[in-house]
Amino acid sequence: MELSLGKRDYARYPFLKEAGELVRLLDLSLYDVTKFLKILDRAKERILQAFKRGKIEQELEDSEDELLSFSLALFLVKAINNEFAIKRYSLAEALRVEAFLNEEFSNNNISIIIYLFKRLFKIEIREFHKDEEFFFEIPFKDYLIRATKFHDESWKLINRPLYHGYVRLKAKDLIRLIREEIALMIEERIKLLKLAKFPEKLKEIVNDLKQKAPHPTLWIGRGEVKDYPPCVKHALKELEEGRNLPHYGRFLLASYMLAIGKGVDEIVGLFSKAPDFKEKITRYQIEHIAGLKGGGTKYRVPSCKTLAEHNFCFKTEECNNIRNPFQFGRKNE
Amino acid sequence: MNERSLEFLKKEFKWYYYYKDDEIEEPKRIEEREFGYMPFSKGMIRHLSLKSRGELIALLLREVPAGVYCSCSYYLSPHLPMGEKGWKGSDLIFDIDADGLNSPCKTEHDRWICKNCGFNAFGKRPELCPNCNSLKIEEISWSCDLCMNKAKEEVLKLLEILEEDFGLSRKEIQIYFSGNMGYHIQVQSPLIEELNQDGRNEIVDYLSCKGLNIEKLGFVRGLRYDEILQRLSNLDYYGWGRRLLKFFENNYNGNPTIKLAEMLSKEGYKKFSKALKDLFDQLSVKIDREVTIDLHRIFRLPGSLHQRSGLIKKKVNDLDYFDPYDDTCPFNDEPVKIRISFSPKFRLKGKEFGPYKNETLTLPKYACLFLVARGVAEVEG
Repeated sequence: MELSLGKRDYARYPFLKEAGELVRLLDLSLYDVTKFLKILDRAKERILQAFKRGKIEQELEDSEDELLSFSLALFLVKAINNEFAIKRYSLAEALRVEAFLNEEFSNNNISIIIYLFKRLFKIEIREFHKDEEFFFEIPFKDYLIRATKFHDESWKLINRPLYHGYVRLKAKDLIRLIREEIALMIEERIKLLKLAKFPEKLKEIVNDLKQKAPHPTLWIGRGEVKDYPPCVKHALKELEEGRNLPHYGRFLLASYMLAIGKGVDEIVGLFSKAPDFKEKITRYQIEHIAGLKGGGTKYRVPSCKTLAEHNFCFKTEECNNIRNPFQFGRKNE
Repeated sequence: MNERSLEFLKKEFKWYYYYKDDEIEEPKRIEEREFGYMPFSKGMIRHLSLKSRGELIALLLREVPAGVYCSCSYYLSPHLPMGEKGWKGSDLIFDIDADGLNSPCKTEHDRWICKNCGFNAFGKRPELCPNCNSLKIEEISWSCDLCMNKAKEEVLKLLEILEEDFGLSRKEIQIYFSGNMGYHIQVQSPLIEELNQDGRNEIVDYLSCKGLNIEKLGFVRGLRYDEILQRLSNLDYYGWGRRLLKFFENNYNGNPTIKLAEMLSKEGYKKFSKALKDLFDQLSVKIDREVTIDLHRIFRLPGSLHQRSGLIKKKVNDLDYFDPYDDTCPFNDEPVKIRISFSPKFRLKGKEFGPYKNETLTLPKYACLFLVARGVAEVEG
């Protein structure tokens, strides 16, 4: 299906290749000062909205200006040179696109949604109508590749209509699926930009934006461990009572104890009550997990999701929605 | 296993790989697969790369392995250590094991043996040996027509969902008798090749009916009868909704949707949802999750022999007519004398054997090989 896109579409979806070609054609350097300043103001506005609210709103009436402001904003964000700011800006742009796509659906512009999925991600979606109802259909592979990153049970494949290889989705969910990919696409675009010809005049603006750029507020899990997570407790109890642990139980215990700084000897000791305990093998395996033996890979503590997949999650309310046992008891510190 | 028995197995396996090499199925894209084998002297040898069928047959004849395996994944460099192989994609595989289906016949043919004192008995293994309190207990599982037929039913359930819900074509799905007590199902399709572990895990959840929220299907708490009926109008959109409707069509008279709405409003949400959960458990496919989600697994090579049975891992062309204990035993009926410690009744090549307990007998070679491989008999001098 060929779709003819207009300038307004390029302004809304400025990462499209056709939009990029238009930007080259327009050549920002030929603009007069007044017009350039207008575009620059909008570029700054995009960035500041992203930093402050995580969302970019409004749209200039002049589609050309709006499109050019995106290109300029990418340069400015690149010049800010802060990884976290790049991510935050890219996600805000992606949210803006998501809002536009939802609007397209409300206005019954189905074909542009189908076009963008195909053009950007090579996903062949199609329409499904029955009586008054409308769904999009997406191949289950394309659905799974994206939906498995979401944690809510409503995204589980089993809770979606699936027929002859296609998952049926309401427009809002379909559009939600590609948010992170759009953000990533913009992020990549920024990273690939070259700043060699960056004009002196803009440096002041960049310095001002740098002051306003966000910085990550990370939790850093260096606090003392007050209590073990329930899965680790379960593993210890099983060993204490002389029962063998399944593979993932052993892997969890060893990697967790290594992560909180216990030594190999001490960890070997924990396993000594297992009925099938062989010191030499246990020591080798723990050293392997620690990255001291074998390929040198240091293994991380398996995630709660992985443990649940292997039936070794014993979560309680105290887990407080952590994603990795290592976070237990430290999340809010 | 004593030296003589081991030599017997090795000699017969060698004969098989020499004279019956036509049975060996060459995996598609052989040069992108990792191979591995288990010698009779134990210990797995992995990370091998083979270029052709000729190299594969040469390996079998040179090593005469107890078991030979091939990756379900495709790699850029299959011979390198796991982290450096360069994963390209994987077939989707399923293992349906009669042993895991908990058929009632298990108590009749499964046995356990204490590795410490040799004490043994039929039925489920105890935590501790009642004779010497040792924890070292080995299970000797067995299968019979009853549990193998149950495994077949699971295969049929799996095929139905793969075709109807996932839209996979029957041509992309191969069924194999595992060579021991179940079936392997292998899907080769561009639709699934790139799926990672998380994606495969979702497929397993789907097939095992795990994580289903019945409110999504329309069974919402606290609604009136007419509201429930309204909500259930899209029940057939969902795979498990369709199977639920089919089950009701086959087992009850009248309109299944109305019947379900009536049951929910009559029994109340709690009781109804419990009954529904039990029904879905029954309808779900019993597969081994670990096998399906493990992208690094090497899987028994089709056409090779299983070291615990001496039977072939064989392609099943017509599941209805396939007999796992008739079509998969390549050895002849030359008489061999063996000492059997115990064996339940079993059937091979259309003949019934056993049960046996502590006896020395002369039996056809194929039956002897089966018992020796199982670890319940030794070859006599």
